Amino acid sequence: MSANMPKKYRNRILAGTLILLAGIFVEIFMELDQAISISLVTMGTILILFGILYALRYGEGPVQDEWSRKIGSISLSYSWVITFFVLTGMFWVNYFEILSLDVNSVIGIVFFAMIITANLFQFYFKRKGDVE
Amino acid sequence: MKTRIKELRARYDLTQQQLADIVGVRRETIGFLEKGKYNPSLKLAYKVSIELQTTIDDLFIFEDDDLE
Repeated sequence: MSANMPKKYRNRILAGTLILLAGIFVEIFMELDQAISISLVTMGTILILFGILYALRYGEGPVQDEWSRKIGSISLSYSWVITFFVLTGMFWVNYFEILSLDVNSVIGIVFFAMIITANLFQFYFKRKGDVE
Repeated sequence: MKTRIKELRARYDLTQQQLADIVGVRRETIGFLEKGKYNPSLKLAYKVSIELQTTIDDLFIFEDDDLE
């Protein structure tokens, strides 16, 4: 770990390393459910990767500022509206028995609709520079 | 909207990153401000104008179309 790395990221990477090691320790030495060790290793890895990525990308500067917050919040609002229309569409499709949707399909469609539209709007507004 | 940020930043020999660090925003924000693409908050406009030793109305030049 670089000595120049901001403290917040250093702590995040350190916490991630400890959680990762705990996951490995649980897997090797303890007779617990494997889901616990997998969760710990995944959490640790995510913390380490994001810590390094953010440290390289943002350094001492802010991760968010008024520009990114404005774009983020407007993108989420638009994403919410589109997801609402998708849900309405799914309701009528199901109501008129055009398609028979089970709970898993609905959750999956909503999940991906939210993630994809939010990221698309963020990408678009970040290229444009503003939301107006 | 047009701005004089780039011109004044050059006068004070500041990079976009340095100005961003001073006013507490990301470098991209300063980039979009310079291009006149981003409409900043009054607080950020004030901070930038103070740092570039000018006033808000001198720094940001609005045309009629921008106000519609």
